[in-house]
Amino acid sequence: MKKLITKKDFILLILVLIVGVAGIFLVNSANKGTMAEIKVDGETVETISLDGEYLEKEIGGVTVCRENGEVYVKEAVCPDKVCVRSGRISKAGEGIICAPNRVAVEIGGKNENQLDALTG
Amino acid sequence: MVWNNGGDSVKKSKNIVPFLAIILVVVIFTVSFFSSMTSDAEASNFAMGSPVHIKVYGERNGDDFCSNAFERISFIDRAYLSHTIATSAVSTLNRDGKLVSDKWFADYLNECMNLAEKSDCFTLFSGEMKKLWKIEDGGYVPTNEEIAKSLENLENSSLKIDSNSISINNGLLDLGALGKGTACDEAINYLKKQNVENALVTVGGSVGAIGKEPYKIGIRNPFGTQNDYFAVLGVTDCFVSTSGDYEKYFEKDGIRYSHIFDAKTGKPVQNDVTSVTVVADNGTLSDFLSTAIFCEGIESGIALADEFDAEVIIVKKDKSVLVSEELKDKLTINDDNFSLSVIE
Repeated sequence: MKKLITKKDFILLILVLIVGVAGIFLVNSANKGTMAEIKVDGETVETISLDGEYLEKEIGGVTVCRENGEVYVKEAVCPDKVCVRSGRISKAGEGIICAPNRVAVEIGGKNENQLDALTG
Repeated sequence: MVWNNGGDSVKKSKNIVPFLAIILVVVIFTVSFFSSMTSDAEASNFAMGSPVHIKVYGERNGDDFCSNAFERISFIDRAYLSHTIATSAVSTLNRDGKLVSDKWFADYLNECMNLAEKSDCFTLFSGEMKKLWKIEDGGYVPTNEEIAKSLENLENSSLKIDSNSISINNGLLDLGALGKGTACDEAINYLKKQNVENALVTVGGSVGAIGKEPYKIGIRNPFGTQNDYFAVLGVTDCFVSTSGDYEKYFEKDGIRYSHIFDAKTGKPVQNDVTSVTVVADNGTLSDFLSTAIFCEGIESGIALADEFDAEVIIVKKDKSVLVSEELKDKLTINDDNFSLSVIE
């Protein structure tokens, strides 16, 4: 009697599983990255990599800077300067918001300890 | 014959494996297809001068639900609550002194008036104090005479609602202390009507949550920046609001003046509290309570929360944290500088 499952069949099964699992990872990896998105009214208007030389971008009254793998708001045309006081961000899920100018800077991707929401 | 039969069975068993492989491929593709159809959706935008964030989990039309929920919030802002848009109900009332409104706004104002009556420190007419103290224009500390005059005006301020006819007497209406919670109510109501089971809506410091599993809701560190939180609250099917003196304020001569006013003194709130988080089953209520408790201070603030069966997390300026008994197991402090004690 031959075996019910031959070595070749086994390899085929493993290959199918690998393709399937790889597919799932491919879909999920779309969420990861080391990019900062600058949004106006919720729409992404500029995406910058966290890596690279010092960079300054003025968007909608807000001056966003990239320096040493972090981004921060250097200046903003607004009364409260909450965004300027927000400091530097670099971790996935972090963000800086300038409500008066309707500008948001967000680091894309997900991390394990990420919150679902923030109150304050 | 016996050998042949054996051959057949071997053949058969050999044919099953590729067949299994095909089934497996089909299953994997079907699963990924359906999981792509029911995916998580989110939308970020701005309304009421605050960031709005909406997440809808595991729905086929998640993107549409998100944008419709945002549109509802934006509408509430434009049509009723905004004090920057000249055609809103609040702007019209403050300018003309009267308004014939629709049922929604008349009912809502009634609800706001009933809430405001519960606290002497809270007022719906903070508009004039905010103007006097130039809260949105860099800040100004008025003279004692100016403060006394604005207090006198405040005492004479009133609102009359006669079915859909609303009139205002002597004062500037400002619903900023409740509006963001109301926005959460409206968005969550819309999502519930669409049979959405898992969703989170954030408008400024207010959060509305529906879902099977508790969400991780961070509570801002009053001494840190926009992304810092000192604790995580694990809750669902509720509304959470926070009021504090750390985001919108101005400083003069070393004194910090917050944007939240005490209607009894006519001045920005000055006490030993720096932030108040409230968990309630209604967004307008949680937003009202967080502001009112911040104004009232610890003792009468906690009594006010009890009156509404709401739960609180109060952070004092010395980094000690008071938490309601019902919330203590749902709250995880992640910053050692804060010390927790349970409210008896």
